[in-house]
Amino acid sequence: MVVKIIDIDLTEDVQEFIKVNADVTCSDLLKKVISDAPKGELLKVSKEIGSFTKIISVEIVTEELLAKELQ
Amino acid sequence: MLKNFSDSVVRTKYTSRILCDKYFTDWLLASEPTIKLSSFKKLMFIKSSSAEHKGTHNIMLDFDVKELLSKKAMNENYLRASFKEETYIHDSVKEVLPPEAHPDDEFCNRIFYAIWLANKTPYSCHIFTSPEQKEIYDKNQHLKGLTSVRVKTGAEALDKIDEFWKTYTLDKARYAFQNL
Repeated sequence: MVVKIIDIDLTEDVQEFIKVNADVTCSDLLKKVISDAPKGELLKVSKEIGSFTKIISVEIVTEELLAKELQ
Repeated sequence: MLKNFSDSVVRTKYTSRILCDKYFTDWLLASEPTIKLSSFKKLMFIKSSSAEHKGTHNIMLDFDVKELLSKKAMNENYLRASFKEETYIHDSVKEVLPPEAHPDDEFCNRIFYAIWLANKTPYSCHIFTSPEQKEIYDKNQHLKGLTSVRVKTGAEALDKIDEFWKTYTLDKARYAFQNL
């Protein structure tokens, strides 16, 4: 069984999460998106949690995204 | 406010915890879009950047979360990014009050939880609510004479969010300057 969750956290925390937690899988493309994301921003990270945690998408929480999703 | 700079992330010691009720959330959701968006964004940053209570700085009790989600008041991801859901009936709260003293009243439950939060650093908690609920909190005997728990309604709560936001942005600027 796999559960899909969404976490919203600071860029630096997401960077540390993928660096420190060895049970996280993430494509090279998403790793680059995370490592290149501006520090001090909020990232919306979609994950699949099974035995491992797989990051499936990453978005910067911009004003536009917030306006769209907070309706 | 004291500052704490870790190796790579700006962390801020805020002067009080935040306990938000469903009435404040409804009030904020009905506010002007710019105020609504900026305030929720600031709350997310405060929750994520707290030096002492990272991820749990801003609290919303389970019965408030449940009601907001049941009526689909807002996107769950952003509600949870703004506030950590906590269960009221918690062993730690029982340290403050014996089980038989726990009333079946949502306002008392929030106040007791806020008192319990104020038993930990930074020893202060603000309850955010809507202007319409001010009188109910003001009349509650458990808040009489308390200085560690204060109620902020509507615009007062926004001022407190702005105060915390300014502290965070100042820390962030200082951190960037020190790491040039």
